[in-house]
Amino acid sequence: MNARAYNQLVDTYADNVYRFALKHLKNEMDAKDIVQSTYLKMWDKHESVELAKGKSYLFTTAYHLILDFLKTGKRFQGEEAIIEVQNEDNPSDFDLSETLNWALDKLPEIQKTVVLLRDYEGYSYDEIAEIAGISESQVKVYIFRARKTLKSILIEKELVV
Amino acid sequence: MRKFNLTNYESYYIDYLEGNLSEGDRNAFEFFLNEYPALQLEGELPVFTINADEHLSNDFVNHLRVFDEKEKVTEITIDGFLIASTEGILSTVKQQELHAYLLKNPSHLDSLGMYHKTKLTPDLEITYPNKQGLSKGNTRRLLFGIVSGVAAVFVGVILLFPSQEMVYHQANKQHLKSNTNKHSQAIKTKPTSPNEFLFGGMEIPVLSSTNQTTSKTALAQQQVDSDTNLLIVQQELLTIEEPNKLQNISKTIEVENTEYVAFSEMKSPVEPIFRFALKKFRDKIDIRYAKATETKQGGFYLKLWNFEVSRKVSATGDLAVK
Repeated sequence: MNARAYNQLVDTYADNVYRFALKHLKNEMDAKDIVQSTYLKMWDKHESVELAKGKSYLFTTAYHLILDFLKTGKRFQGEEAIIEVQNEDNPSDFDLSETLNWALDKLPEIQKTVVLLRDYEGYSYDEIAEIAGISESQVKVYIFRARKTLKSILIEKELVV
Repeated sequence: MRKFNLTNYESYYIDYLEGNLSEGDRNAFEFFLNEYPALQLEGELPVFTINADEHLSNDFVNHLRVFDEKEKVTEITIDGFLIASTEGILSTVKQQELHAYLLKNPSHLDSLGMYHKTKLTPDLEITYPNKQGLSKGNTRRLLFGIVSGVAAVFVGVILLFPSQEMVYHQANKQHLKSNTNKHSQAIKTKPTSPNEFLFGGMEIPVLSSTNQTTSKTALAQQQVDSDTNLLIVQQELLTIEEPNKLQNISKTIEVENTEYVAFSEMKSPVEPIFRFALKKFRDKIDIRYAKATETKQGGFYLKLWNFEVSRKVSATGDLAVK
C-alpha cells in the first residue's frame, strides 16, 4: 500500500474507527489516541498491508488497542468524562438512540464490539470473527445474546417511562 | 498404610470424613492433619441435595441456547429465529416458516419489532477532527513546496540582479568569443607583452595570478581567492572611465587556474549561486546537510534570514519540519 492508498483509508475510515473507539471508551481524547495509534501502526505496516484488507486491518488494530487500553486502565478521568457518564447513566426520557447507547454500555466488551462492527460497519460474521480473533460461531452467539440483552433493556425502559 | 502429604490428601479427605479409610489409613491421615492443623475442616461438611422442584427460568435457559436453524420454530426457539430474521441470515424456507408461525402467534410480532430496534445506527455527526494530521506525505509536499519556492525566488533574484562578478565573467566571455579573430590578428600585427591589455590601440598593463602587480593606470583590479581560485573583479572594473573600450579588448586575460564561464552557460548554477549567497549574506543564510546513517539522523537545515526549514530523517524515515 502506498501513501496515496493509505491516505484514502484515512479519508474513508478515520471517522468510523473514531466512532468505534468512542463507543468503547466514552471519551473523545482516548478515542482520538486510539485512532492515531491505529493509523500509526497501519503506516508502520503499510508495505505489507493491501488496500483491500485495509479496513479490516484498521478495525482489528483498533479493537486490540481498545482492549489493551481498557486492561491497563488508562481511561481518562477528566471532568468531561464524569459529566458524560452522569448524563448517560440517567436517560430521563425514552429516546431510542440514547437508550440504545446506554444499553450498549451494559454489554460485555466483546458483545459490544461485535454489535458495533455488525451494525455500524456492516461486517459479516466471518469478518467480525477475523477482527475480534474469535470463531464465527462465537460471533453469532455474542450477537444473539447482545440483541436479547438490548431488547430486554429496551422493554424495561419503555415500561418505566 | 498410605502416606499422606499435601499433594494427595485431598483425594482421601472425603473417604476419611465418611469413615471409608482403614484403621491404619485413618490414623495416618489424622497424624497428617495434626501436622497441618490449617487443613482440618471445622464443623461438618455441607450436604448438597437436589430439589426436583427447582428449575432455572426459561429466559435463563433460552439465553444459554445457541441458535440452530435446523430446529423448528417453537415457543422455545422463537427468539433465535426472530434475531436471525433481524440479522438477515435466515434462509428463505425458514423465513417463510417464521412468517407462518408469527401469523399464528402475533404476540411475537412485538418482539420482532423490538429486535429490529436493537440495530444501532452510527451517529454520522461524530467525526474525527484532524484527518489531515493522519495523512502521510503532506509534510514532504509542504517541505518540497517551501524549499522549491525559496529556491525559485532565490534564483530569480540572482538572475535579475546578478553580481558584479558574474557580469564581469559574462562580459568577458562574450568578448572573448567575439574577438577571437581580432585578438589573433592583434597579436600578429602588434605584439604586446603578455601582461598587457590592448584598448583601442592603447597598451594597458594586465594583471594575472603570475604577476599581481597593479599598474597605476590599470582599469581593472583583480583578486585571486586562495580557496576557490576564483578571480574576483571588483566594481572598479565596470566603472572604468571608458567602458566602451571593452569592445576593443584584443587580448585574452590569461590567469592560471581561472576559468571564465558565462553564468548563462554554466551547466549547474547551484554551486556558484550558493557560493555567492554565502558570500553575500553570510550569517543570514545557513545551509547544512548530512546523510542519515543507522546510528545518526540525517537531513538538512536551511536558514534564510529568520525563516528556517529543517528536515530530519531517521532510520525509520520519520520527518520533522521546523
